[in-house]
Amino acid sequence: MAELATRRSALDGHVPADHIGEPGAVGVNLAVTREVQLWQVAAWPDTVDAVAKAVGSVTGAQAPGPRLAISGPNAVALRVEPLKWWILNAEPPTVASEQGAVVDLSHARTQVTLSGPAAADCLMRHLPLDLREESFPVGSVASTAFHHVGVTLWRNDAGIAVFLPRGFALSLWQLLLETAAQFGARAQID
Amino acid sequence: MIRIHCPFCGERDHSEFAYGGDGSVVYPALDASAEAWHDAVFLRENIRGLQVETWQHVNGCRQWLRVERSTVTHEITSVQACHPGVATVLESEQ
Amino acid sequence: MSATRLSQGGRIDRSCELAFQWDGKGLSGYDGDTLASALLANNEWVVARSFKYHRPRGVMSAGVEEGGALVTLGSGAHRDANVRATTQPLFSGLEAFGQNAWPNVRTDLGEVNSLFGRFFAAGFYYKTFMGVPPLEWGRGTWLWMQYEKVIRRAAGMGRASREPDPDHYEHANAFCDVLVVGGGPAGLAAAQVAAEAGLDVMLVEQDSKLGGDTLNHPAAADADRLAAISALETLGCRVLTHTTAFGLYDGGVAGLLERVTDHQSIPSVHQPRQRFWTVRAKHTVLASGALERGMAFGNNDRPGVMTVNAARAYMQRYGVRVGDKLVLSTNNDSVYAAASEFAKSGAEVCVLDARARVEPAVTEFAEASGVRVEFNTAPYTAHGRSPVSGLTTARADRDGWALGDRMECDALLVSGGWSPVVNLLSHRQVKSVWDASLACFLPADTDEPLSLAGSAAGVWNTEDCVRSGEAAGARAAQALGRSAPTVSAPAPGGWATPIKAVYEVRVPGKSEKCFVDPQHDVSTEDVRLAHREGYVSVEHMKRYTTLGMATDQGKVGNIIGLALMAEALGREIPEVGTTTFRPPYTPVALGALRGRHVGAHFRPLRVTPLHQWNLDHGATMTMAGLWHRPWYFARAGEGISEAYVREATTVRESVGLVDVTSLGKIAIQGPDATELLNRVYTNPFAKLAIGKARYGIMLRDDGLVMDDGTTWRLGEHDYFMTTTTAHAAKVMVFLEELLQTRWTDLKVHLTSVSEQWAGVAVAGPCSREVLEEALADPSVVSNEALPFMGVVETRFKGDIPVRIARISFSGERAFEAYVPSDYAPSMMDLLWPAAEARGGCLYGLEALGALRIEKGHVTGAELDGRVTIDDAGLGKMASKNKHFIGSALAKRPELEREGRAQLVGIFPVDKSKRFNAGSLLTDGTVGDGHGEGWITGVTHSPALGHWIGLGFIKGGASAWHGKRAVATDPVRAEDVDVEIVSPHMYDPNGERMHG
Repeated sequence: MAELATRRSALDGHVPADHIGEPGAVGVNLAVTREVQLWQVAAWPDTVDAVAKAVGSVTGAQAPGPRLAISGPNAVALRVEPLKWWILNAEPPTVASEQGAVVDLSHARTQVTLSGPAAADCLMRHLPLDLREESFPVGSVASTAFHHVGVTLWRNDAGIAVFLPRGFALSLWQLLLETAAQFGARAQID
Repeated sequence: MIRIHCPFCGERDHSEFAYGGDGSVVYPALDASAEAWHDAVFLRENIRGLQVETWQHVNGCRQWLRVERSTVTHEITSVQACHPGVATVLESEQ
Repeated sequence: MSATRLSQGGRIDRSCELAFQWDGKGLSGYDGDTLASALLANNEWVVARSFKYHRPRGVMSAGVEEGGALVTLGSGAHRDANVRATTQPLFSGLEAFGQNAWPNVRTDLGEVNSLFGRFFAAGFYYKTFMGVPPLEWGRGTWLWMQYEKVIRRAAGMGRASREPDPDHYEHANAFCDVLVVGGGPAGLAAAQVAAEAGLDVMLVEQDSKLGGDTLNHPAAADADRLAAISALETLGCRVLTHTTAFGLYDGGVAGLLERVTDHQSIPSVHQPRQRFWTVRAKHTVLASGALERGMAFGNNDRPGVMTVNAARAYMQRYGVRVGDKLVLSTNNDSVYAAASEFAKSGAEVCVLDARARVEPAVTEFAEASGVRVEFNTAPYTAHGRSPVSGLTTARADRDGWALGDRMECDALLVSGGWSPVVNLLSHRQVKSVWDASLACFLPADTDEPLSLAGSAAGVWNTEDCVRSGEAAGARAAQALGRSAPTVSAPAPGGWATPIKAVYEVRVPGKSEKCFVDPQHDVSTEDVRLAHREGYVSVEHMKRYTTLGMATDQGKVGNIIGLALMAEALGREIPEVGTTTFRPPYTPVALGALRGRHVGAHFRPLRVTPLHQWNLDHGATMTMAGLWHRPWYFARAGEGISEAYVREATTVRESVGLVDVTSLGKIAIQGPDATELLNRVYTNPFAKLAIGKARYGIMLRDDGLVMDDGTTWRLGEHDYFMTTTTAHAAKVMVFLEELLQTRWTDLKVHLTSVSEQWAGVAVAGPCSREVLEEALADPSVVSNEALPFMGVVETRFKGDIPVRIARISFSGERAFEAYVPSDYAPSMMDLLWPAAEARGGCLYGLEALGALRIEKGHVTGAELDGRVTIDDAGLGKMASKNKHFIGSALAKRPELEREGRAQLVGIFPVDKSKRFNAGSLLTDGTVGDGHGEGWITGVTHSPALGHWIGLGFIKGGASAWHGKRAVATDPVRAEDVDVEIVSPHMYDPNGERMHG
């Protein structure tokens, strides 16, 4: 096999092409990101500033504080835990083990972005999380439980991105589609 | 429902957390005596009132938290990260 | 006698006629009707039969407190029992049935029970059927258990469908600044003031319409209501109608039930039937209103007896006047407006006021409309069956009552006072306070962020309720740091003439059946009987009589019951206390509590990246925890037994591939990673070389085994730990606890990478060749480059990164290969043709189990939290040269005792026999007890050609050499004589996997 192997998303083959649920307007758009690139960069308590700098050097912006994401010209970083950032769509910085640790999670999460007027309502059918615009504006990051499964959310200009643990992604995706049907929905993968 | 103010994530439903145990226990060193380990593992107070307990924000930031909670009213009077280094980081960033 | 649908008035749409079915009869009503108003408009008075006595019952109220008109809605799987006709909106095609009656509610043979009414007093069945001499002599319940089945059938209410619920439900979460419960004048005002202060407000109303009691006022006075509603709309307040706040919980959390489609004729399939909301509010305003009570008098449960305000609602809201000749009985001022309205509509109206005098301003208005008022008068008993045709009155006589006159009426409307709905406050453990001057419980003060407004706070007049709502809204706003005009809350009350407390109208020397709790057929005599029999606590009285324990939870009957109990005890009501209201305020369907978590979504389902690939290649799946895993891959003509035996045989003879993705995987990184591992594993990890893996055991603090697995050293400060599927989450959490709470000086990061890596085990003599064919550089897996327990990070063809360890769970030469999950199907597309070409197979959990049982490898079935490392036969893995988690308490005498149950292998003596997992092991003489041991797993061993098992038995294999042992399974199978052997039943020296 000379050609490169291709990645297969957890939701490949499970994204309906047709309008979902209530006919008429589309209340929720669900977009699956086919190939996620996601690196986790972690600091020690006494190296947070140094690692933040390293994260910033990748994104081209300041490293975000708790519950925030900051997009730079090159990439975006999410602060997901007190000592941990996620970097999306870029290679990670080099971090020596005295400074921290880097680990690849590109295949560990399935990214679904919900947009449309009912996106937050649809998610709040399941998440015990305050997604009102004023409480969770663009640039917010939060982790919570979705049917007992830990998920991470990030609101960006395109909508609310939800990172689902890959093994649960199909089951949670089906729940989301069933829930979105009441609002009228469309799904896509790209 | 108990709502817990996580020092990293903010106030959240208790369903995101997992109860840990008695937060006042100081576990002995690995080479301590069996008696010391026995006391740490098995002996618990049954407190009516304010109790120190650990919770993990398992479906959140995964931090182990030291929570002061009234066993009478469920009222929570303080929450902080168990790890002192993490607690310092969170204080400096809030 | 007739109820009349008036030609005009009300809030119904007479242009929209709705056909519906009542007990098989086609009737019609209008859009805006409830089922109750439509039944009344059709003169259907008997709509139910009572719980115990099968007495005819009709509509008693116009709301959630209904104790009479409980019906069954729908049929088949959609059947819904005990629906209150008074709150069920009418829709086209609605199908309702009377319940607890045969053949129907109008002619119910069960009514024979009421002839023996005195036998059915509280406690009758227990006294009669428990401990009957000479059978049980005062003790025992055997006879009761037999009779109970019959009794339960005769007594009761509607029957639930036995079929699965075909509707779907969902949960929803919401957050707001202020939650306003109740959309009456007070609630609307509170919401408006709070929203105007810039707060995010949610208002919930159980009714289909906003307005509360003003909906029962003449429609001409609607301007205020409509203005308040449109103000909320403009302010962006979230309003949910058809939604009940059924419970209040800690932390400002409220539970709501939204009936999304229960009022719709043909609901959209995309909408849930009901939605269960969890709302977190910073402040809650309870504007939940008040309920009108009746009084206890003879036959006060007859159809045609209802509250005054209910009759007003039927006329003003639904355009149905319940009679032409109305008698209103009251002890307070609240009925006069309604009396006047009835009179103006052409009815003959007489008010019996129990009080000696009333402020003339109250009565003048009504009398001017033609209402006749008699003071010092109350109903003694109602006459007529269904509905009432008249009553005998009672005249006030010193402190009590004397028999009065007989008069005719075609509906008897009663007001015994009003009870503020303090139920939700009671959920917060706030006891309410008895106010003797208003004859009701009023909400007590509370420190919680809760305000009460309107008639829920005992404020009776509409204008005062609005002001009370404004005050509550302003208080909420100020409490949340917003500026709002301070409004002084009106004091409770508002009637010109004080109420006279009348709970029961009893004439000395006479006795009538007077009901306190119509839904459970609890009478005034039952309460007194409870007292005579020694029940002095109101909580005990409640349980003995079942007063207030029906679906209405005593909304109207409780206070009368309390008053009677107080009277019997010679005490005041506050001394008797009140029972605690608990959620839910009105019944909640179990389906709503489950939400979407039913069927396939009962638990979150976890699948591996090879799920589809496995299915495409013939896998039959099984559940392992939350995981869906291949169980076996049957070929044509095979069942599970043939398939797994073939698969296990193939692994031993050539090669097999199995999806092992479900194993827990943790990245352990940092300068102190080695130290962490050395502290948590029982065996030494300090000197594990980079590029090597090691099998390890972890104990819990208490010295018992927690988990086992292999850990691979990828770099100086970089490890890859695998755990069992079952304990993956537990191990992760425990390691996090150690690092965050105990060993906070260690610099180690843990990350679950279970989802990042998809794993396959390649096992069997040909495993290396299969791997070589798939790898870009085959030399990395040669015996020299990758010896047993070696680790290599390399690439498959197609540039797929892979980490491989030479590990064996099957006892054969074997490898575990992990690739990033999205590449898993591509990996299998490389490995499977290579395996197939060598006569290999895909195998599942069943063959995996067979192979590991032959080898005596333990899994979760053996490591059940009760075994020590020695019990599991792994004692040599416990280092004597270091301390580790559990090492101190593992030395407890009980855990080191000789003769503990040890891991053993089990063979049948007669090799043709089989035995079951879960059997007890005995020495053949024990008849009961726990036996000598137990069996954790069995399989038909392809290698040995007979059934074998793994289990634990006291003393281990050496203690049973030459002794009789029996696998006993009294439930499923006969006893089987077995031979206890070493757990290493196949290739004990491991020669096959080292080759």
